[in-house]
Amino acid sequence: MTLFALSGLFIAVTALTLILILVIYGRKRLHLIWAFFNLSVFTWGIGTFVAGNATTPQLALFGWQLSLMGGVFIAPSFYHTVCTFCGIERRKLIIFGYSIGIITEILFIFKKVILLDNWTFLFNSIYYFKGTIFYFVIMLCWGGIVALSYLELFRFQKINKGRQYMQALYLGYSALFGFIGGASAHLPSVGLNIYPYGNFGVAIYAIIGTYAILRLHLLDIKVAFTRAGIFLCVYAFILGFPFYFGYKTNLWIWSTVFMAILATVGPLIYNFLTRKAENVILAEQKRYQAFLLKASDGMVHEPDMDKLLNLTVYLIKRAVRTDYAAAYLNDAGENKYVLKALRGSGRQVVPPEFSYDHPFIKYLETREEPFIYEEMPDNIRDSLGNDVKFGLVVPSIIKGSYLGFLIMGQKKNRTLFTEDDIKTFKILSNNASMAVVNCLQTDRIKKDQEILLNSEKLALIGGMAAGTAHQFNNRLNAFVLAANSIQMLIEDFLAETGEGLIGKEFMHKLHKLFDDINEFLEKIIWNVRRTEEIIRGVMNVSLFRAEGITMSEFKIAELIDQAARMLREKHKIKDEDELPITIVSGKDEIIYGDRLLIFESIYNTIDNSYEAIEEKILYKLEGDERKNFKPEIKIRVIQDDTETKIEVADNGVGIKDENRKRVFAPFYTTKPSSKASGSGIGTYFVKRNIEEFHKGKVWFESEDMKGTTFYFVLPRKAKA
Amino acid sequence: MIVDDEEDVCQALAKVIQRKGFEVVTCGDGETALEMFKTHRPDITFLDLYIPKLKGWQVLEEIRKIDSGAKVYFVTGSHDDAEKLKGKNVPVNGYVLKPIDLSEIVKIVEENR
Repeated sequence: MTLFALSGLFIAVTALTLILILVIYGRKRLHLIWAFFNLSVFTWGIGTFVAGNATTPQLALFGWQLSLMGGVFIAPSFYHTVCTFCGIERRKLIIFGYSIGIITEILFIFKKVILLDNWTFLFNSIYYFKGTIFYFVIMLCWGGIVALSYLELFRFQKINKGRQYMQALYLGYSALFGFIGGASAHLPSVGLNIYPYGNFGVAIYAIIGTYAILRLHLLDIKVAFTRAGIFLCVYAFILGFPFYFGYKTNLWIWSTVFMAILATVGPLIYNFLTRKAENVILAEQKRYQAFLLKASDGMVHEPDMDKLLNLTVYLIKRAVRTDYAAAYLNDAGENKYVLKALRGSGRQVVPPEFSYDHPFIKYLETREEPFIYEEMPDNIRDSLGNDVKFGLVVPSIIKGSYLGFLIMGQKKNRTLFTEDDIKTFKILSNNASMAVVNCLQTDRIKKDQEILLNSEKLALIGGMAAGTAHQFNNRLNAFVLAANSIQMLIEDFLAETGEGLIGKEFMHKLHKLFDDINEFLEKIIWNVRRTEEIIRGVMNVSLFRAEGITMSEFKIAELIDQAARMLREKHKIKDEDELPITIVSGKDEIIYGDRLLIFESIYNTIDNSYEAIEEKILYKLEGDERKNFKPEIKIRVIQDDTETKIEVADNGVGIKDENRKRVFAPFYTTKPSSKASGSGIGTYFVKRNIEEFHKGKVWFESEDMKGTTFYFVLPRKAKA
Repeated sequence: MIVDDEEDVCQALAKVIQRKGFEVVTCGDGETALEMFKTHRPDITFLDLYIPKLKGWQVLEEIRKIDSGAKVYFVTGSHDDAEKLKGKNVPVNGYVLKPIDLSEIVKIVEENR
């Protein structure tokens, strides 16, 4: 068998295999058209096999005719494939191309119209025939159709990116192999006596073309050709050298040994060279993959959701150089995925949200791995619309739950998202999922804390209000008792005093009656006055009022007095010595601030002082020490031109060193849980009130078992 | 015995009950109440729930240890507290809700004469 015949056989077998693959696995019209192309190639292959193997001119002529009958459809079916692939309508030209083919088939019926039976025997093995004018016209048309195909491919790859761009490149470059290879078979027909080795290229072209059309995840074309080149070189050496050695030396045993050794190390050499070459070719890709993997490790430490998502899209867009990167988050409450972060030109393209019912989401939730646009079924792609042709989608899943997903546009350099990219993004997605879960938990904790803080605050206010309400009740109770008592006195008087009772005794009884009535009336008046004071106190304190601070000037002594009274009610203190609050200095000072917030701060601080004293008395002192202990809460108010300083000093149990740092933390308390007031929120509010709202300062000094002094500094009112 | 930290209440109740011919002792906190109970063994005790030192129900518990048959009536301003205590089957003889109706006090005193 000649080499030329072998090439023909190789082409025929390859093409037939490809036809079977396309028929079984092909899903689209494009695949069917390409299958027809491969049928043309198959026919060409059979024809050149017969022509290459022919021992008589007649058989050779038959072979060449057969090859031309198939070959004449290669160009129009290629053009048809290109047009379908590019999505362009060229019906007339396609029909023209196929018509040339049909006309040629018809003309073959008439002998000597296409090929003359003048033959020459070239290369000691192949019969060649000269072509007629029709032959050259057909070839010209054929060449024109091929040129048109390339024009369309060129236009297409200019405006497309990603997989389609890569496919166009594959088709274009591999077609060159085929057309050049196939053309080489015709050279001797036109007087150029070059052996048609290039015929093998037709098979290679068909294989690469089919790969490009069928495979979703294409290798970068540079990588593909590099690997192919390295493969050919390495294995040509592995197979060729031992064979050459054996041929030259006739030492076939040694030749076999060499082949065995080289065959063993061959794969290692191939892998090594491939890796080195790809490190150079894919340097850019490997750079950003390493960068993304490193960055994704750090993601888990970002507690803020918005920052995390913005960081993710920024990193991807920057590192991978995509048109855009968008992050969507699952909003289970609203049954949709919401766009949370976007970088790049995707604003006109990516929708602001996807509902759970959207076909794209239904498809997404069947995928656990990243996927490219082309992987989606047509109906899903249609549901997105023509504008949304993303490059890659990366779902973010944790324990089977879809937290969200990333959408990336095409890479700016128009290369594909490779298998390595997908692996990298899978790792990125796993880390992002964990980071998202962290953020969600942090958000929840923050919300819970806020709710708790608010409810504690309300409880605090409620506690103060409850104390006031108790006072109201007692005062009202006193009114009622007094009134009741008067009624009873009158009742009794009337019952005891009959018509017959006159004179001194009557007068004495009457005086006694009025004295008693008077006494009760005094009590009524006193209680009414007290109620007025309480109401005034409540209005001044304004426990329930609108948000925002209201600055005013007021006497600090008034607030301290009110706080002291409310605290004595709260702790049921009758004896002032039990809660001895003394304003040592600055009694008449006027301070500038929000009355409620300052009141709250004073109230909380004195409350803490009282409880520190109580703790000392109940748990730390014994016997005489306890008996002789005199509790003290001393308040000093010192003013200068710019600020007011308030000191609240107690001689309670003090604050231990290990507790100092946490004094102002929310929910921190050393009070036993059995005590109603031990919420631990008071000092947090004090700090917030003074420092955040008044731009003041709060600090304390304390000594274990000696006492604590809290200091507040408030700015004075700016003079006009 | 009248136990209430509000002196006005103690005075008003005392006057009314005294008019009905009873002797009355009053105090303002739980500890003193217990001492006075031990000393005087009153026939009826009107006990405020929220008093200093020992709370009303604590005083009741101690009174029951001394005399399980003693007549004790809680005086409380809170309906909720009364309901809660009823639910707990606290061994009290009755409740008087504030603001106190003196006629109710008189009725209780007359019933237990």
